[in-house]
Amino acid sequence: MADRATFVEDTEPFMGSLYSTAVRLTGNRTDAEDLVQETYLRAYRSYDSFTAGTNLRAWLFRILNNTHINRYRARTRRPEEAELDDIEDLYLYRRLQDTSRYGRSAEDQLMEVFSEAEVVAAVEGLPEAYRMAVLLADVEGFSYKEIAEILDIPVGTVMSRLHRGRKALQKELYEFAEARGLVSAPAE
Amino acid sequence: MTEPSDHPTESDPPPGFEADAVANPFCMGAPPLRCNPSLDELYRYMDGFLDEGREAEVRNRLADCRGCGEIYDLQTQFRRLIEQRCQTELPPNLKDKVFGAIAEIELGPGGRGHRR
Repeated sequence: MADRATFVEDTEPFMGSLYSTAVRLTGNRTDAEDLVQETYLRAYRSYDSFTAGTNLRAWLFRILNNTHINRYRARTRRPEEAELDDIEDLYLYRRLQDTSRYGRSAEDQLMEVFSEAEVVAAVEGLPEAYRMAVLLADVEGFSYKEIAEILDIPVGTVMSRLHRGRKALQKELYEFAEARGLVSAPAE
Repeated sequence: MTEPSDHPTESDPPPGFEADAVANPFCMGAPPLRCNPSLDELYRYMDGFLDEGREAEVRNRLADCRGCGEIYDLQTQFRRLIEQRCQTELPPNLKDKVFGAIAEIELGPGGRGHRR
């Protein structure tokens, strides 16, 4: 077994980001706490197999993802994960045009438009495979290659999931904005 | 690019044609440099995944074309929006709970092991 003090010292800085991701994956804080705890227990048990000097943060996220998949599969039966359709760039361009006209051209105008609740609802509404790719890239800042290793999928699949996930997320957010009358539906 | 000669070729855009010739509704570039950047390519650029040559081309395009630049700015804003709105603060007791559970493994079942 790995030296506990070393393990704690090495892995402790990453608990915050693992927890944030766990909350978005499970949709609630109680399950997220359990998921983080199980991730750390598994990581501790296999810490000897971690190669020092390689990417510890990515290694921990890989365990988090696998743990989540195992727990999830053990607990529920769910139909095959939904696939996201391609969203036309043009569709998004039109809305971008509309959004960019909204309000000032301030640096972070989108921050003022969308509440945390809306962003979280849109993110949690994404099918899981896409959600994980978006979280790893846009929240955690992992590279395509790191995400490929974490999720154990080819880089091309990472790109496809991430790009489709981002587009679907934006479509959803534009629809929230439309529903609130902040932007109008583009004329055809 | 070299100055047009006395004999304009067919590929030279007629004056005033530029604004209408763009493929991307945002783009104000003129042919042959008119752009139709896909969001996928802008994402690869944003994520640092283009090769050097193409990266430089896209960078120039974004600097030269206000329309493309706006699209890109909004994409980076979206990215920041997701990043900032998806943070959840760590519950204050979670570290103790997790590392406490790990300490228990070491102590063995029932916690009867020897403390170091």
